[in-house]
Amino acid sequence: MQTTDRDTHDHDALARAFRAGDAGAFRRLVENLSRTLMATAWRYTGDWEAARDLTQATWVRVWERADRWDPERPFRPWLLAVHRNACLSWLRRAARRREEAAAAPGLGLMAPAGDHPEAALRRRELAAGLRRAVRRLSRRQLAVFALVDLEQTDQREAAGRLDMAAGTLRATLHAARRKLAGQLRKLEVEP
Amino acid sequence: MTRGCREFTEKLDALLAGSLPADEAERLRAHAAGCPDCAALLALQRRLAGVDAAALEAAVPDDLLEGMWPRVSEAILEAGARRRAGSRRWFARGGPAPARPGWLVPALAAAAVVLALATGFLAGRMRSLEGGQRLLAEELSRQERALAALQRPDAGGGLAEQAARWRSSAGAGDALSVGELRARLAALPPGTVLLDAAGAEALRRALPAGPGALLPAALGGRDGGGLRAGEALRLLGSLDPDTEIPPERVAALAERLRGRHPAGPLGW
Repeated sequence: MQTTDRDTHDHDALARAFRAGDAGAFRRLVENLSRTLMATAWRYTGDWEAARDLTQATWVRVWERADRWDPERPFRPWLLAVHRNACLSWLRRAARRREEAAAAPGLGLMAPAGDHPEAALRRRELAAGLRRAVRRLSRRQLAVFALVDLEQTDQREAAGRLDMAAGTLRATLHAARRKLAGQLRKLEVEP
Repeated sequence: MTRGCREFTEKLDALLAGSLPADEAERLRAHAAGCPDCAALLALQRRLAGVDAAALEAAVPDDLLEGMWPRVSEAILEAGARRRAGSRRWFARGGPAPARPGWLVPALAAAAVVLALATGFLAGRMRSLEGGQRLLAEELSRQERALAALQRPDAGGGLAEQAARWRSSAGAGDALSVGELRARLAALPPGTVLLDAAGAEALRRALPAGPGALLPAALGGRDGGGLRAGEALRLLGSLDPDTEIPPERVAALAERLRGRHPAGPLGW
């Protein structure tokens, strides 16, 4: 969904009101921005209920840590950064839970609706393989991979968000992709 | 990894975006056809890039979205209740808290802050007057938010719990390092009043020019006045955390504060 300047302004105004103690403003933020958070979380989890739980956890965190948001900066990118950290933690935990990997839906890899059963099975296998493979990534590689390849963020923008030089981001991304593809081959999972 | 693999990796995004000249794209595809690693890389990227953002947002199930606010508000209340229960368990494990008057701990904090400031620890350590004033202005704004946070439903009793925890871990005769003091101040809501307006004014008069000159910016222009925990924390920010505040000075000043403010800082 496209975010307009007016949306951004509204979010910022609501976030400021929330920080001033207006719980109604917080509720409107939850109502206005949860769809985006759910969609982002699905890219990490491939499962709507897990996406909902992650989104809920992000809002609780925002409630508790609102004082860490700088009102001079736009609220939405800060919110997405908080959410991304929650999603990355989830991914790391999920990657360690090897026994659940085969049964759980795993990373969001395809449009969620209209899967052919065979395609859905392959997607689950690939997702489970990827969740195991991401264990091999360093924290930095995982952060770059998640932002660029899972969330499909423009590389220049990703470099800015992660405070990395463009060349460093590119090199990190390439190394992460290579490592993942190599791991998938080792696990005999076909992308 | 061969040179061909390296080139494939570097040009993969352009290949997927269709922005390469046809002959170059063909050459890269031919490489992938004979290189399982690069073929896997290409297939994975195609998969990952195949999720359209707008379609994904449109696919979010409405029932999960509609239930979000009730779940979030409930989770916030539960988190507040868990914190309160955790605090009660903490006291149960440690036995009954020592019987000390409720005002004593914030008074100790005030005493230590006053000592730290009045003995000139801060003098010459503030980077500049302007910088200090900016920090204090920011801190004031933060305090307003923190006070508002106390009104939130999950915050009931938070201040009292913090004060009780503090009470159980500090005695009137203890020495305090600046680092410990900062940790304890940080555990209090920043809006906790340590000195009332009159006390803060007396402190300002007693202070050397450097830090004393910063206080009016912190104390003026708002109802109620006084020196609050957040401000004190900021003022102590530039001190060496290992600096020790001697116990006898803490005790002496606590005694003085006791005489001046028998109701204690929480009731000022």
